[in-house]
Amino acid sequence: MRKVAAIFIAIIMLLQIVPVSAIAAEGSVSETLDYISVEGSYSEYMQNNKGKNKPDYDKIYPAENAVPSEDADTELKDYEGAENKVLEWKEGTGSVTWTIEVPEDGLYNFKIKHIGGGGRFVDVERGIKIDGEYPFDELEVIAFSKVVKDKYEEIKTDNQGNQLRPTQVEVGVWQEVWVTDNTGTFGKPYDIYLTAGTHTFELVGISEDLNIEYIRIAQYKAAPSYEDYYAANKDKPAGEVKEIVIQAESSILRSSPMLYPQYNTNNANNEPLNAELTQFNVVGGYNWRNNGQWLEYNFNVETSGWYKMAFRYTQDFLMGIPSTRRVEIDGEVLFDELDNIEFDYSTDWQVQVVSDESGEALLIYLEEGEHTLRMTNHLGDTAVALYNIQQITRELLGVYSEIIMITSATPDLYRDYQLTIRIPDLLERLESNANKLYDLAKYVRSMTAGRASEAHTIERVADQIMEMVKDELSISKKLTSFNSSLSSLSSSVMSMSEQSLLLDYIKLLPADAPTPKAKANFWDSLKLTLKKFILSFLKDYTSVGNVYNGGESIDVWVLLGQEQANTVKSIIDDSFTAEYQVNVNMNIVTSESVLLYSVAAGNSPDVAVSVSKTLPVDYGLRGALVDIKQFDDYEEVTKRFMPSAMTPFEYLGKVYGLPMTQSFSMIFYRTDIFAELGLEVPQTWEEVYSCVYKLQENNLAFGGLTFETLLFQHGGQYYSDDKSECLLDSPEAIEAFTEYCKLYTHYGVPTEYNFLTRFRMGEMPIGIVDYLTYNSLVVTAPEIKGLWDVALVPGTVDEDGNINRAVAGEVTSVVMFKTGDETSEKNSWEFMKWFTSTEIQTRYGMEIEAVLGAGARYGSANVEAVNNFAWQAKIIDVIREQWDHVQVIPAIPGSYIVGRNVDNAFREVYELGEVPRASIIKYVNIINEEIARKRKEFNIE
Amino acid sequence: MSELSAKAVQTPVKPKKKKKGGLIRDIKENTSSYVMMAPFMILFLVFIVLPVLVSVVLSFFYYNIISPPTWVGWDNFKRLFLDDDIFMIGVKNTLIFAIITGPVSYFMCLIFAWLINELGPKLRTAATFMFYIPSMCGSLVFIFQYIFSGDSYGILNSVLTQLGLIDSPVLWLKDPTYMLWIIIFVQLWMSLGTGFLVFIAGLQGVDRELYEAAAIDGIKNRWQELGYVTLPSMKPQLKLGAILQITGAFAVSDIAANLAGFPSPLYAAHTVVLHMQDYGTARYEMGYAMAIAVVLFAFTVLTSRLILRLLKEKTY
Repeated sequence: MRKVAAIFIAIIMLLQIVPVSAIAAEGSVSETLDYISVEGSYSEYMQNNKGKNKPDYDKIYPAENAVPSEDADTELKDYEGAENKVLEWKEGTGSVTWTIEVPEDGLYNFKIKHIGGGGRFVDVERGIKIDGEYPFDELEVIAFSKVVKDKYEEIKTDNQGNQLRPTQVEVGVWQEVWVTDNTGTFGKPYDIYLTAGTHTFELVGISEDLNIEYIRIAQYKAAPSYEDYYAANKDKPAGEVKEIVIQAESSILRSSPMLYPQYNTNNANNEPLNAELTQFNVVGGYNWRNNGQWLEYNFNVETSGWYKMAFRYTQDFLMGIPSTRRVEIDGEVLFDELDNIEFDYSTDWQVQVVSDESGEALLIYLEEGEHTLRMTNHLGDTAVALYNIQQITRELLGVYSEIIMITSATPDLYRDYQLTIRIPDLLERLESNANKLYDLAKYVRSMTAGRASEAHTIERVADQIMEMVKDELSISKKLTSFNSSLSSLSSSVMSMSEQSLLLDYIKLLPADAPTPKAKANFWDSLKLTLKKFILSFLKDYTSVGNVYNGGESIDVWVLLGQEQANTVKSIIDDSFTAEYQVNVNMNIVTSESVLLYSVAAGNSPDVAVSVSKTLPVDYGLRGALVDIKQFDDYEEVTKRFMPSAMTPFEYLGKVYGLPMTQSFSMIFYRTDIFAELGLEVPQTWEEVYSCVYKLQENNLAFGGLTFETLLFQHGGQYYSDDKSECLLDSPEAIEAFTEYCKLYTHYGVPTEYNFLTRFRMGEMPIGIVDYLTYNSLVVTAPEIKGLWDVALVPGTVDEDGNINRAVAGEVTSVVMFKTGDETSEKNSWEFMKWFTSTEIQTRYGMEIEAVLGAGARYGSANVEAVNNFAWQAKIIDVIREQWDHVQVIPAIPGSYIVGRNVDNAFREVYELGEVPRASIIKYVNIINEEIARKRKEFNIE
Repeated sequence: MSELSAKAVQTPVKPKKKKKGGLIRDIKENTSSYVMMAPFMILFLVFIVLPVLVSVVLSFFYYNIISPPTWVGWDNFKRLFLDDDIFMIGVKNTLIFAIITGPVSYFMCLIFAWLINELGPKLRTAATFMFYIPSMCGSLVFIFQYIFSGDSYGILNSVLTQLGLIDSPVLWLKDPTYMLWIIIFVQLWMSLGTGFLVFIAGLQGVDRELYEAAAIDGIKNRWQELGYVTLPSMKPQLKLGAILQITGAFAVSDIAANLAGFPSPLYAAHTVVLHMQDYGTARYEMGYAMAIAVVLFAFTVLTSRLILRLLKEKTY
C-alpha cells in the first residue's frame, strides 16, 4: 500500500517538474519590453515612427559640398587616407550644413566619416539638426569617441625590470561611424524620418576639433544568422589550421586611455605570468565598464580555414547579469551571436567559447593574412531595462520631492497630510510606475534566467509602492523606506549599466581542439601563492619606479595614493629625468608626521609633494624649508597660478612652497525643483535668505553655507595685513559671524548632512560645495542627469553695483627641504617648476583621469592645466569666473588655533545659546593670545 | 622552563649581598644568566626606559622637533599648571573618564568573566571570543560614527525620529552635553579587553580542591564561594587587571578623537593624552608635550599604587 502511494506521489512530482521547466525555458526567450515613451526623446520619436518604411538607399555627401556658418572655424584640406577633401573644423565653433535628398518617405540612418585630433582624450561633441530643428532631444549632443594608442612601440621597463604603464596618446584614425547614442541605450543607429525630397542636415558645433570627410545616408543592417553566414562561406578553401593567440593586453588601438594593460597574478593560468616583476597580462576589468569602449587587436592567419573563438576572463563585477561584448573581425560583425557574446558571472576565471544555445561551438572562417579584431562593450538586451528603470526612477523622484515639500523628509507619524487631495494624481502616478516596475522585473528576470538580484530589488520597490497606493495614509509613514528604495533603484541602474570584464586572452582554435583550462590546478596555485608570499618580503613597495644610487639625484616624497604616485613617477622617468639628467627617487608616505620625523632625524627628502596648506609656513619658520623667492625665475613661475593660491606660502617676505591643487566652491542646484518652486538661483545674499526661506517652507534645505564666504563678502579678513593678529573681532567680521549663526539658529539650516545623497533625492536642491563635486555627480548620479546645473556663488553688491562673489579656497603644496647642498637645491627647484608647469600638470591630470575615471578629475592649481581638462565649455567658463573670486586664508604660526576656535565660538552659540558677538570676541582673544605667544617663540616683532 | 626563568630572576640579586666586584665581575660569574636575560633587558631598556628618560629630560626644554632643543627649566611645568585652561579641561575630562570607566569596566570584566567561566568549554571559548572582539578591532569605532551621526539620517537620530521622541536631529558627537557620555559608553563597550582575558585565566587557575574544602568548612552559597575562595585565589590577576584598567582609562584618546574630532568642539571631549598630542603634533611644542606626558606618567603611577594598596587591604 505504502509503495503504491510513494510511486503515485513520485509520478505527480515528476509531472510537475516538466511543465515548470518548460515555462521557464519559454519565458527566457519571449519576454520583450518597449521603451517608455518620454516626451521629446528618441523613445517617443521611435514610437511615433513605428512600422514606417526603411528604404534601401545609400549615398555619400562629401565635405566639399558642406556650407559652414560664418562663425565656424573651418578649412578644406587634403588629408592622407581620405579620397575626398576633408573639412577641418576647429573647436566647437558654429555649424556646418549639407543639403541632402532622399527618393522616398521613410526612416534613414546616417554615417559620418571622421578623424579625431587635438590631442585630448575627450569625446568630440556635435549636435544634429534636420531642416533647422532637432528631431529629438538626443540629437542635441552626439559624441564621437577618439582613438588612443600607446605612445611608444615597446612597453618600457624601469631599471628593476618592472613594466611601466605605457603613456598613451590620441591618434588620428579614419572611422566611419553610425549616428547613434554613445550610452548604448537604444542599441542601434538612430532612425531619422525624412520625407521624399531635399532636406538640410546641419552639424552644430559643441566641443573639440572634428575633421570630416563625408556624411552618408545608409540603412543599418543587422548581422546575418549563423546559418546564412555558414552557407555563404562553406565552399571557401579551408586547410589544417593552427592555434592563434591574442593576448588581451596587447591591443593596438583603444577607445579610451582607461583600457591600459594591467598586471594580475591571482591565478597561475594567467598568460603570461611573472610573479616577481610587473609584467602586464590582462586588460579591462572595472575600467572597461562603459558601453562603447573598445579594444582593437591585429593578428595574422597562416592558413585559411575555420576557427572557434575562446576567451579567458573573469567577470566578478555584475552578479547574475552577464557582461556583453560585440566582436567585429575586420570591421564587421560576422553573425548575430558575435554581436552579443555573454560573459557570465563567477568569482573565478572562466573560458568562454563562442557557441550556440546547445553548446555547439560556432566556427569562424578566416582567410590567410592580416586581420583586425575589435571587441566592444555593448549593452545588448539590458539597455531597454536600463532606460526604463531610469525613467521610472526619475518620475518617482519627482513624486518623492513633491511629497516631502508637504510632509518634510521626517513626517509627523500621527498627522494626516491629506496627500491625495494636495497632489490629486498621486495615486495614479504611483500605481502606473509600480506596474511598469513589475513589467521591468519580469523582463530582467527572463533576461538573466532569474539569477539577477536586480529583478528582486525592482519587484520589492514595486510591492512597496503598491502598499502605499492601497493605504494612502501610510504614505507619509513609509517615506524613509521609499527614499531608500529609490536609492537602491538608482544604484541598480549604475550596476546594470556597468559591464565590466577582465580579459586575459582571446584564442582562435582549430574546431577539434580542446577548450583551454580556465583555472590552474592545485599544485600550480600553491606554488604561485608561496612564491608571492616569499617575494612580498623582498619587494620594496614604497619606492616607485626606477631606483637610482649614483649620479645626480633628488629624493621626492609624495603624499599620494599608489595610482597617483605611479602616474607621477612614470611621467618623471619619461620626461624629467630625460630632460634634466637628474634622477628622482620617489617614496610614498602616508602621513605628514613622517616628514616631521625625517627632519628631526636630519634625513629629510629634497622635495615633498601634496602636503597640506599650513605645512610650508610651519616648517619654513622653523628653518626646515628653502625660501624659493631667492630663485631668479620665481616671479615668472607664480604666474601659472591665481594670486590667491600663493597666499598661504608667504610669511615675512619669504615664500616656502608652490601650490599643487586648488579647490573652491560653486553653487550646484537642481533645475527641476527650482523650476517647480518658481525659484531662481540666488545672486545676492538677500536672495539667499529668501531662497532659504522659500525652501524651508517646502521642507527643503540649502547646503554648504560657510562662515568664510560670508566673512570675505562682508569685506572681512582673517588676519591683519602684517599677519600679527586675528581680525575676526572687526565690525565686518562680527556682522558676518552673526549672520552666519542666524542661518543655523533662526533659519534652521542643517549642520550635518551628506550633500551628494540629499542633492540626488532633492531634499537639498542647492548647495555651495567644492567644484569637483561636479565629477562625482556626473559619475554617481545618472538618474538626475540633466536636472542640475552649476552657477556662481551669490555675492554682496557694493555701491558701484559690482557683485563680490568671494569664496574661500583650499590648496595643497609642493615644498623643498633645506639640505645645504647647492646642486640638489637647484635640481629640486627645477623639479618643482617642472612639476607645476602647465604641460606636466595637464599630463598628470589627464593620465590620472584616464586611470581612475572621470570621477577623479584633477583640481590642479595651474590655471591653464585646468582649462585643458575635459570640462564642458560652459562649465569651464563658470569655473574660471568663480576662480577669479577665490581667496585663500593665509597661514601663520599658530594657524591651527583659528579654525578650532571659530568652530568653538559657533558651537557656543548654536548649542549653548550664547550671543554671537560675545562668543566671537571671547574666542578671538584666545586666538590672539596664542598668535602672540607663537610670535614671541619665533622672535617676530 | 619555569625553573630556568626562576634562576634568571634570582641570580642578579646575589651581588647585592657581596657588595664587592661590581657589575662586570658579576656578569663574568653568571654569564649564562645574563645572556638569557639580555634580549628582554635590552628591548626593555631601549624601548621603555630610554623613552621615559628622554621625555623627562625633554620636558625641561623648548623643542619644536625641527630645530635643536633649548633649555627652559621649569617653564613648561609652570605654564602647564598655572596658565593652561585647556589642560585643566583635559584633566577634568580624564578624571571623569577614569572614575567612571575604570571601576565600571573593571567590575564588568570581572562579572562577565565569572559568568562565562560557568559555561562549558566550547561555549566558553566562543563567548570569550565574542566579548573580546570589540577591543581587537579598535578601528570599528567608525560604526559608532554612523550610529551617533548628527545627520537626520544618522541611525540613532532616525530611530528616535521614527519613534516620535525627537523632532530635529541631535548632534550627538558635536554637542558638549552628550559628547563625553557617548564616548564613555563606547569606551565601556570596547574595554572588555586584556583585563577580561586575565580574569578568565585567573578563574580557570583556581584550584578545584579549594571549593571542596570550603564546602566542607561550611560555605553555603556561590557568593560566599566567590568571596572566600575564588577572589583571594586570583589576587595576582585582580591586581594586574586593575593596573591595566587604570592605565587604559587614563590613556583614552583615539576613541575620543575618532568620534568627537580632534580637537573636539569646545574641548568637551579633550583628554590629557589628546592635549599632549595637540601640542606634540599640531603645535610642534614637543617639550611642552613631554611635560604633560611626565605629569600623566606620575599621576598614573601614583593612582596604580593607590589602587594596589586598596586591593591589598580588601583581599584577605
